[in-house]
Amino acid sequence: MRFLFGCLRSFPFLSVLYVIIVGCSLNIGGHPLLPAFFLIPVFYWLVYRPDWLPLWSLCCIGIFYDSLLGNELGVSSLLLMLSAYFGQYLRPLLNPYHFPLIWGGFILYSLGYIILYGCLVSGGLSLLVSWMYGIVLYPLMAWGLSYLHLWLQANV
Amino acid sequence: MAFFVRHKKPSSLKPIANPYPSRLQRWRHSLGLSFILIIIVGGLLRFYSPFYEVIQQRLFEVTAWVQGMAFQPFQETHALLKNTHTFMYLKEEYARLQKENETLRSQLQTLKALKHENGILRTNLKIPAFETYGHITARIISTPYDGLKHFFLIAAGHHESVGKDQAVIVPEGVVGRIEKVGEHIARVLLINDVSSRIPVMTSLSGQQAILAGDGSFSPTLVYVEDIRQIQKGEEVVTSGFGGIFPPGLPVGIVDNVVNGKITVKSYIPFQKLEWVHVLKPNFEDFHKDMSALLEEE
Repeated sequence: MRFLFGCLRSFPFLSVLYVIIVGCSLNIGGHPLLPAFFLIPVFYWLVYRPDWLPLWSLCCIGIFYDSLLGNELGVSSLLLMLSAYFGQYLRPLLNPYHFPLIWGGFILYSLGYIILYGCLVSGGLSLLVSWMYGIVLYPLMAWGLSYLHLWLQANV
Repeated sequence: MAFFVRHKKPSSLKPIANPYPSRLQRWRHSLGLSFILIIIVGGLLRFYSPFYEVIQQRLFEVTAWVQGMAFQPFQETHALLKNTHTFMYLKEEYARLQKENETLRSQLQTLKALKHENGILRTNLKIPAFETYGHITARIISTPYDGLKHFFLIAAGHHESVGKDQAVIVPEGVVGRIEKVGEHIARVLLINDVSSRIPVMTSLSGQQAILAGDGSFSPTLVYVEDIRQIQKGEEVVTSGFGGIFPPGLPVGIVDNVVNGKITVKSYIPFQKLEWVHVLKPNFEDFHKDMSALLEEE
């Protein structure tokens, strides 16, 4: 039973990986959806259930992302772990039942992440466009993730 | 606003108030132990290059394999739909292929005569033979892109005798070169990537230059001998220097010359590519030709 619960608890981690795998080949108007696209599930779980997305999983997600996208290994891991670090202090400020506040939090979080990511890996305009796509797509993906959240909450 | 109802219902979604009840758990998560350990171990691994390269190679293979597996059902469905479409229009396809075959046959006759003539001229002028190339055809698995690096993952690796720095082409022209090779998978660095540099020359003015990718779909020409001689619309081909690309492969045409910046429009429709050819130098034929030439001399 504990094994089953463990498997269920890894769903948030797998959801982020899935978004990276699917999102890495998607683009709109020649501009990619990543990296802001995969920050949506990261932010969602860090706000609602940070214990389901622990540090080691963020480190693995970052390494997977860097390896897939051909970056220097560890750049995204560091940024994601920093997200968790600052997230634990900022989390109490967000009211989880007030969606626009959470959305605003995501806008600021993804902007910070993308600026740091752009500085570390010399990104340009595409990163900014990706950030805008991320903002637009956040409600839709958060809505989908909320179903997964409810299902996990009922079973774990 | 029914769309956001899930987030407004306090009863349904329960964000956990205190996810780390014990002090140990809090310390573990609050970057006490985990963060420091990960940074130390990661830092040590990063700066110990032999180990880092092995890890990087293994991770590349694993991530590419995971992605390949995830895309497999979509690609199979796409292939099935394409096959069904081909089957439905089999008669038209047969007529098209027959016509193409006739054209190619007539071109082959002309090429045979030219090859013979070329051989005689080479012998008379004592020009050494160029390397000959074979090729492997590989399917493009995916094009991971987050606005920084432009590359393809292809379904061919060490097992199919693909090696690092081999040229990758399509009938329209040069696509890029092999950057990383796994057992059954390889990464192709495209000509428009910021780290791509290809020795090229212009066909009319004969100016040698380096084609440098800048992340856009129009790479630029740098280190040009004489910029004034380059004309708009001129064809750009590989020069053969550097030993990766054979000479004369089409790359694109000069699109614009503004303030000393020369942009090249590539022939390749990168978004539509499904298959690519990896060029393999045929050293045996090359050595045979060279030996024959030396014996004659």
